[in-house]
Amino acid sequence: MGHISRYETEVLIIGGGATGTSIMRDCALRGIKCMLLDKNDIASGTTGRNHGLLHSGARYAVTDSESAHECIQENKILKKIASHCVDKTDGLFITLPEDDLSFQSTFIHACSSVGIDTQKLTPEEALKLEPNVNPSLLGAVKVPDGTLDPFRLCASNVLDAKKYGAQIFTYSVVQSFIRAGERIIGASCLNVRTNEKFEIFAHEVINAAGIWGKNICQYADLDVQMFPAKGSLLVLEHRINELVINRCRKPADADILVPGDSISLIGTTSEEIDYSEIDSLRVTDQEVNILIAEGAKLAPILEKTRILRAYAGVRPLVDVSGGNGRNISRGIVLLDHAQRDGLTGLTSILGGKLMTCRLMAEMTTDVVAKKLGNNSPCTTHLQPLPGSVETADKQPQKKTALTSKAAAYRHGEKAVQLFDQSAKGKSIVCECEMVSVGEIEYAIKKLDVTNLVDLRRRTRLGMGSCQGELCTYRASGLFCEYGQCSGHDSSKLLIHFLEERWKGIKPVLFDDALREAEFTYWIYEGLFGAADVTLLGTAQNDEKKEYYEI
Amino acid sequence: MKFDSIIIGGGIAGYTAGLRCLEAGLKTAIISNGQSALHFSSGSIDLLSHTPTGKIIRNPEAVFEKFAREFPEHPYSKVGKEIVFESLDWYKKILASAGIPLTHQENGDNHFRITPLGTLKSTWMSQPYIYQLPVRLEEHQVQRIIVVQIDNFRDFNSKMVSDNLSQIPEFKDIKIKNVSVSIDGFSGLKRNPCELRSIDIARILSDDHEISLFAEKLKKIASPDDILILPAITGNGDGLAVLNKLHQLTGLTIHEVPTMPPSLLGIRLEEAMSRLFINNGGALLKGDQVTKGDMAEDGDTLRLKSIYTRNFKEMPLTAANFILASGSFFSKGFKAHYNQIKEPVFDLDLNTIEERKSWHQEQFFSQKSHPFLSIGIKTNTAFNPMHKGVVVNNLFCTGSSLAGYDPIAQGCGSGVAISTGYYSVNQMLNNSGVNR
Repeated sequence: MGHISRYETEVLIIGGGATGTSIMRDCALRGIKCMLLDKNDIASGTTGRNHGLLHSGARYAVTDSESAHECIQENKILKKIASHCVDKTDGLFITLPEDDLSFQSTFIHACSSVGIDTQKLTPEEALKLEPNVNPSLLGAVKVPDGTLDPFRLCASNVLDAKKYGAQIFTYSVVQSFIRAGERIIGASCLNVRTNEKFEIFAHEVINAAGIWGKNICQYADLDVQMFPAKGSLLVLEHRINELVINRCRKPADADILVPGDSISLIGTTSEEIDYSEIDSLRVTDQEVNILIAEGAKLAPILEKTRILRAYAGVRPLVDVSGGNGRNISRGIVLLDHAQRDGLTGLTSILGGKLMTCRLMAEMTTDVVAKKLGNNSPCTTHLQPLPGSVETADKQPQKKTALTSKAAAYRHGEKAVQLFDQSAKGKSIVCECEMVSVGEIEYAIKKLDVTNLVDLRRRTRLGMGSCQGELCTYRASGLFCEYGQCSGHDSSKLLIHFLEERWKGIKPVLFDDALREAEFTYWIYEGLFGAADVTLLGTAQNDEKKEYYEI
Repeated sequence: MKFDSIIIGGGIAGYTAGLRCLEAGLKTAIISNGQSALHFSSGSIDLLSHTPTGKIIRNPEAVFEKFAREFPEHPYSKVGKEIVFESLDWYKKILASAGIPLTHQENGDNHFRITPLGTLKSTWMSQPYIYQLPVRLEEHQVQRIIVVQIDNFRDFNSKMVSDNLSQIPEFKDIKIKNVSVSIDGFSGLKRNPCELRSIDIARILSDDHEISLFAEKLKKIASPDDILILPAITGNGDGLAVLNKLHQLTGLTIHEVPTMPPSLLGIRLEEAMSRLFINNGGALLKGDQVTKGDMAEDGDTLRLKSIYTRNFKEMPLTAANFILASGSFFSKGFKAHYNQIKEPVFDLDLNTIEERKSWHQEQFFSQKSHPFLSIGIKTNTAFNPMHKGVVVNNLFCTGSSLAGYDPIAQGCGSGVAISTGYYSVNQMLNNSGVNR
């Protein structure tokens, strides 16, 4: 005991969401040594808890032209460099009888002024493109919206950065900053899975922790005001729309329906919450109501479609007034604490959107690289991500019956060539999303997967219509084989996964979700006796024994 | 179509009632909509392992009267001790006649079966190749446990079984070993052998040559004093024949553990009951679903005259008496709407819970039971349900359609199914309105 591992690097990045992993890649491509730390898995915070919408910028065109401009620029870049994470579905902005049709021309004008292509459609044309759209629509405008898989984007950023020597520590938290006078020179960290302490010394530290960035600033005795806004979404059992469907009006609650692989998502609500609630988000009955009712206006079939689960994320809104009242920005907030607070060695990148993660990374890395005396230009907008390299020009098939094609879409063809090609490696574990043993082995060994929830983020295992009913048991066994887990640990991983899934099911526990939950409970508790696994080896195991006798 | 009795539902409660009706000489039909819960069950008969307050029951027979006094709303309390044990005895006899001999501890104790996660579940009556561990676990006689992993079979993981078993304090001094065994018949298949399910393996092992090759391998890894844990991978359509043979060939003490569904242990029970029902002259309407019923006033009660099904469309099925054994949510016996739970065919009165957020617990797995599992139909003591407060006098509810118990937390699902199925037929025969 007492031994503390020490690491040295040029840049320490805190936060493994879209922004943090994009900075990691940007640094690595410029030849800057870096390490990334996340308290959980990559993409496990706000990044993985939104629509996964590849904005064209049209949504913001009327109300926030700066955001709209950033979105369309990044939209074009991501389609090139992250084609394996993008589905170029296009999007519709529909006008319903209750909406003001005259808004349409304002909208089209605003779009064209920031360079977003639009195409005005008659109701008949819109219905032909998107048969499930509300047939009572008065008109529609087609824009280059799409979908963006945030898990895949983050995993690809990390994979690419590692190629250039970057390192990642997941399930690790900052406990305190290491200071030398008015300079931050590193951080004391703790791996929350192994309880091992370690220290990372760095020339520059970047706070990319999103809404949790306020906490990180507090470790440096700095005050940043953030206003968390909860956004809730519902996952539908199958893909009911091919195009993203928006309302052609000023942005409001529950007015975006986004397809994603084999499912569709309806969202989002928006509610300011207290900062103390950011780690215990709950989707309320009222939110479920609004999402179903508003979603059904976009596509009436939604009302009859099974809801798989609900989830919520937190928008990281920042107060940029500097303490004089309240001026909340939805845009990108880059804080050079040397300038702002006289504390060198720390830069915070806050606010922003999933869409602008690469841009935020470029802005941040520019500032930090200059401090390090590194003059290499940013190339993240030019170099395709791994997985996108060989498919940069041709869009991979979005849905396919073959595992290798599904996996190639997820990881790129080069990665698939590394999979175990034996009958065992090719055998399918998750039938809904066509995930093979070989792909799981690859994820466990190469993609920093430590549990079944991480595995779901990397492979979509358990994300399809069965929600991992049977396949998670099969997959948990593979952690014994490839992940050096004991049988006891792997059964705990299984229970952890099912408890995580339960969080998303509780808000929508009716109809088929309740049927399925009963089935799951029969299998895992009735047949498998799962509840007792967590008690094994604990004192509780003996304590609870109370007998009923005559 | 006209019957004396029609049973809605083809699970353990439905078959119990159906077989009892046939014994009473009634012209009987079972309407079954596909797979019952038996396809993912342990194939053991749970009698009662816990009280609704979570206390452990080691001998259900000994505490029955006390339990009935303390928990009068539990179906067992309504059926009564005598009929509960009479029904289990009867069930044991008919299953034995169908080639599945079930046994229990002579002193009436529950016993433990080993689960696929290596935990222990208390049950009461089991198939012959379930090694019955004493519920007073310190009295166990186990010396060594060998857990068999079938190579490339993902629906059973021996490491989870052995690692969790070895964490049980009473097992800390015994040896628990993991051994991989391959099945020769896997090579030469057209399908990927790594994707086989339990029923596919059962098909391979029903071949005499394959089972003797398998037996030879098992003999090399275990001796008769060991408990040999095998996943349930035999007996799809042939009951215990293959396991009996394996036992003869090896002389080993086999303990079958269920796999991920399909669970052959449960399927065996369903097949045995279904075969008996058909052989005894019952009409099995499989893959059909009841859509609605016609009720008529009968004094101050209601009477179900006929029912309609998806397959028979507008042609009514009539009977003197009906038994509802349609299960709970999974088998569509109940339907949960956004903020309300309903019995979808007859709109029978339920002991429902108003607020949706009270239907469940915070944690999925805990020692507390989920309230939705205890939701069911309100009945009188004869298990007649009510429609808008009025008793339906010739309809009887059984099994998990009944309110007032949690089959999983209280470890009583199959016991309640058998005893209420049996009891309902008694009530039906006593029913003054019986019209044969």
